[in-house]
Amino acid sequence: MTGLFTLLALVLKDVSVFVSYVKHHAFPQPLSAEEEAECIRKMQAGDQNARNTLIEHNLRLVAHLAKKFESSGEEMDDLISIGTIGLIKAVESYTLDRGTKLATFAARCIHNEILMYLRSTKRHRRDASLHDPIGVDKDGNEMTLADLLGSDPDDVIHEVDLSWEKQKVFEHLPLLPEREREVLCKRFGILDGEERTQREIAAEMGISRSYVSRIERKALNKLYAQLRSGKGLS
Amino acid sequence: MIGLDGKQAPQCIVCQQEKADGITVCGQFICTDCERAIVSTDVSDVRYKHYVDCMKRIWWRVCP
Repeated sequence: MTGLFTLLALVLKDVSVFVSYVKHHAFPQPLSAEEEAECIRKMQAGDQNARNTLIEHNLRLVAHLAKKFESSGEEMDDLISIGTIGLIKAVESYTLDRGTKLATFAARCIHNEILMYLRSTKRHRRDASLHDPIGVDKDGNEMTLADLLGSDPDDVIHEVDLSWEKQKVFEHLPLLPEREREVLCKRFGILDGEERTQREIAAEMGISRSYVSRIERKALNKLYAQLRSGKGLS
Repeated sequence: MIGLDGKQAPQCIVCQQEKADGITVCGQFICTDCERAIVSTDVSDVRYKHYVDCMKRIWWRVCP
């Protein structure tokens, strides 16, 4: 048990140091232009310490750029690690004759590294197959995404409600005056499944579109009132 | 493992082995082999996530 507490204390210490590190911006200060040029020259001559210095003094850039991707849904410490990989790549491939400052080049590499990672994870999320196994049912049979689709309890309730409402509308339709019934049937495709515009109905019935609109509104209001009160149409 | 300078070789935060050559970022050592592997691994490779997790150690320590 003591070991567990020790381990927990160590983990918490590490996490708190990390949080404080990011929060208080306790990064090494950026190098001056002269120091940076000197380090790059030394690194290109094979000096490992110069390379370490260049990476360390640009970590601030990683934290700054990773913060821009906060809303991506990825963990911040993942983004910072990915950015660090981008920074290492930048320092490795940078040469003085590139014509841009190391910080500019590194920022592009860090940004690209994070973007590539995010695109890759998004592609993977999108590639889920309907037939991928997602678990087993209570009898131990493998279940796929396709098995679950369409069997959502909310879908079932929605279907039942819709069917009940349709039934109620069919019961009340014959009670509407003939003209109103005809407009509603044509407008919502109740009999033939073909929905028509008010203009099409107006042309078929030889009346104006605005008159069709008035008939439709009147009929719907009657239906709505009757369905709410549960009484027959007057 | 003792290096040429007589000092204990640092342990790589990725492969956990003691190696002489590599980079040290904020006191955390990455050996040359692992560094090459990290920079050449595609983001969609399963090993990439492992490297990302290992790299977190760099940020878990205050720079000396």
